[in-house]
Amino acid sequence: MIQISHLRKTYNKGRTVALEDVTLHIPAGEIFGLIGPDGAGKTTLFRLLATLLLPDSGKAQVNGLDVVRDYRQIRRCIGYMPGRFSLYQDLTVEENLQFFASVFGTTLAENYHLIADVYRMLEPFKHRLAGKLSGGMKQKLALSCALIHAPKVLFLDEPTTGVDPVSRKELWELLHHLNRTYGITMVVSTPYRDEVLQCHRIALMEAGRIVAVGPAADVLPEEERVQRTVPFVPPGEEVEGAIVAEGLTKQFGTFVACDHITFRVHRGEIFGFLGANGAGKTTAMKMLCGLSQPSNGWARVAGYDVAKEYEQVKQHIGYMSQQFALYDDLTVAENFRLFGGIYGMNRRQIKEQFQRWMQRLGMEHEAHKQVGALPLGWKQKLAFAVSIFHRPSIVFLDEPTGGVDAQTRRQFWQLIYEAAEEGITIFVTTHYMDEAAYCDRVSIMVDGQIRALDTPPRLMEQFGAADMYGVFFALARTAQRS
Amino acid sequence: MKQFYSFVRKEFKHIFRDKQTMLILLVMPLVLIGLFGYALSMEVRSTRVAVVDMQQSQESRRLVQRVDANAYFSVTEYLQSPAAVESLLRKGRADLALVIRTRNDVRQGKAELQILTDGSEPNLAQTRVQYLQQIVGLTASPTAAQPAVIVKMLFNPQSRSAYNFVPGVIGLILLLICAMMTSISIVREKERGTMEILLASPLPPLYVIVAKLLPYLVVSSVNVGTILLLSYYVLDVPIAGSIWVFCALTLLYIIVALALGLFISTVVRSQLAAMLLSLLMIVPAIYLSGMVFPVESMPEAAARVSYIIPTRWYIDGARKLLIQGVDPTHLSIHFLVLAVEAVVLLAVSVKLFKTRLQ
Repeated sequence: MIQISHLRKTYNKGRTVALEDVTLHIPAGEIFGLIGPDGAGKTTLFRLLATLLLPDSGKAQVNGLDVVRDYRQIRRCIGYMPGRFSLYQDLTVEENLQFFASVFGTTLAENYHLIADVYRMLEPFKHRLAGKLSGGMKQKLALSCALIHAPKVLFLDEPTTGVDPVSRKELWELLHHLNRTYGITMVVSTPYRDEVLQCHRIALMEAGRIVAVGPAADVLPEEERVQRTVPFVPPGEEVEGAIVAEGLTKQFGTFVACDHITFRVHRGEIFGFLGANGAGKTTAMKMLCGLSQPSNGWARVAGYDVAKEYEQVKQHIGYMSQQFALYDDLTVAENFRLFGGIYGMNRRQIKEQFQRWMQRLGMEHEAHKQVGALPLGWKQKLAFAVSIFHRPSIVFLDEPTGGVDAQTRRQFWQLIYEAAEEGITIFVTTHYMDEAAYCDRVSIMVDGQIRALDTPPRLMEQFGAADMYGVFFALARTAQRS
Repeated sequence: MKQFYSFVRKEFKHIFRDKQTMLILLVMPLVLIGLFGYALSMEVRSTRVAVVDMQQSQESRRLVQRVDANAYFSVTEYLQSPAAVESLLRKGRADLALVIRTRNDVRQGKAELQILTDGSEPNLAQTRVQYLQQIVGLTASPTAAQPAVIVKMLFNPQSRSAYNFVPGVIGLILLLICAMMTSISIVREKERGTMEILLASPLPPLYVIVAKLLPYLVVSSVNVGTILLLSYYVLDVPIAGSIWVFCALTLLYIIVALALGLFISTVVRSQLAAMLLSLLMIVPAIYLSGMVFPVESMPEAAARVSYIIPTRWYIDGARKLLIQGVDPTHLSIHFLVLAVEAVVLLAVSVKLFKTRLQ
């Protein structure tokens, strides 16, 4: 179905090599995984196959058609789902589908059987604007849009990034179903190990080259695990917790986003705060950071009341999220100086701390580069460094590793462990269940309530699951609202 | 064709659902007409006149009365000698002074009337002087040695600035809507990632281009209609020439502006850059188009640049048609320049519009 031989692609007039001597054969009906760290060339390869880029040299064929010469025919028989949510946010679910159907010269009814399974999940929201859907729903809609013209090949560039584990599972079940029933060939890239293992075969990519091809179980390197060097011992009950929440509630009109949650995070603990998209994690986190007033209940963070002493709360916490990290147009050093200044550090402190961090991250040479020019994984590590630069007692991390490759995620967790061992309390949300297992304790939210809270091994025992993924799924399945 | 039709429908939905776009489209014409029509008038209103009547004759007193009776002028000061005029103007207690000399002076070859005005605001000063000349010209003393100059403003006897700005506002709004909003709407698809899917689909790129431009053509035509109706019924601006020739000229200008928007969208990658680049092109267009400053009074270099600015040709043509009511044959150069610009811009941008990513 797909034949690639000695494909080469460069950017910036040959200065940046994106793909080098890529040769690959993917037979029809296969689910093929493209695996590798950020910047390995996966997206470039997808775009070349989708006829959006021209190769410098080498050949590539899709369905027996040349990607350069026969691009018009190829565009008729492929479905392409780029990494980001590429939907019209201001059109409804139904309008998006109808639009993409007509772009491909077909109608919703003609190929309805293909999307019937996905569409059944979307149907209740068909008059909702695409921009108002959850991440999982958006990707299901994007998949439907890519399927509407009954393509022979599907190119899926990280289709599950930013999607909660339940939706990820559903999406992969759909992919398998489509593959089995209609024989659609699929090329998929994903940072999730459990998804990689579901591919028939995978290619490992690194710096634009293919380093290995074969069944996932044979090719994928053994998972390295990070571990705390010093196991965490919770202090006694008499020590006040870093975060104490009692009946914390947030209500928007009749909608209870966060429903009487009660928990306690010990000092120096790594606390995983899990939940499906829309379970109320972000709402709870905003209240704990002093950004949003609770409707009911109370919480103390670093010894301050979040409802009344929110200014002190903000002084004593660090915050990092996927969306807001650093200023792309400032250099690394300028970013640190800015945030150090915001938190009232003096010049000497900033300078000392900055040099220490650059050493620790091994980024001395990048100190005066603009942040925008660095790879995503590096940015996230820098953003974490900035969030604990002023030595807060607690740091809130909102999906800090979204869209980052497995290796960088492990390095990131190494940093988290080091910070925890220095006594900083870590409050982290994540969609990666392997990361959930790295936490000292984990809470899982469903429909605005905390339904489970314990150490990962005890949770697995309690739910009879082999891993945290099993625990999460057992709970998330009970969710009523979406 | 069904592809094309549904694409156009999608574009209209984008426009109707975006509150900011709708606000700009609906409110901007009203605001601009309101601003220029009432607030930013270039007309002479309540000009304070200082009078130095050295003649003290029946005619001179009648002349002063006539000036004072005019709605635009009011005589606020009576001075004894012309020497006091300058300090009065400097203190800002009068905007203009009228000096009427004695018969004796006139016989010695001096002008009977002298108008002194504050020239620190040249446009305003000129208008005041012109208008005052019109008033006094009619009553100039027949005994004067020098014949009074009779000034008559053709087509716009009251120097109504509405006549001047209505074509200008239309030219400006069309440029804003067509160039800026079109470029933003195309670049938005690049930024959000939907362009990637459209390019990877069998949709012909020409469909994308035309479907993106068409809704803005419709919307801007509606706006032109609104402005014309408002100015005709509310501001009493005449439509002296052929309305059909005006529509043809406007349509051609819209196409140039759309092509400009398309061109901008092919050279930038972000909505912000599209907006900045459009503004960068619109600002000189405003100043060099003759909307605010007449092309004739520009320095040579600026005047030459103004020849390539479509807005200049449009505003000039529209003024000629609406206010002067000239025969369309006099506008062939306007049509020609705009048509050439439209063809060149469209050709360049269609060529630059990529069927692939960079």
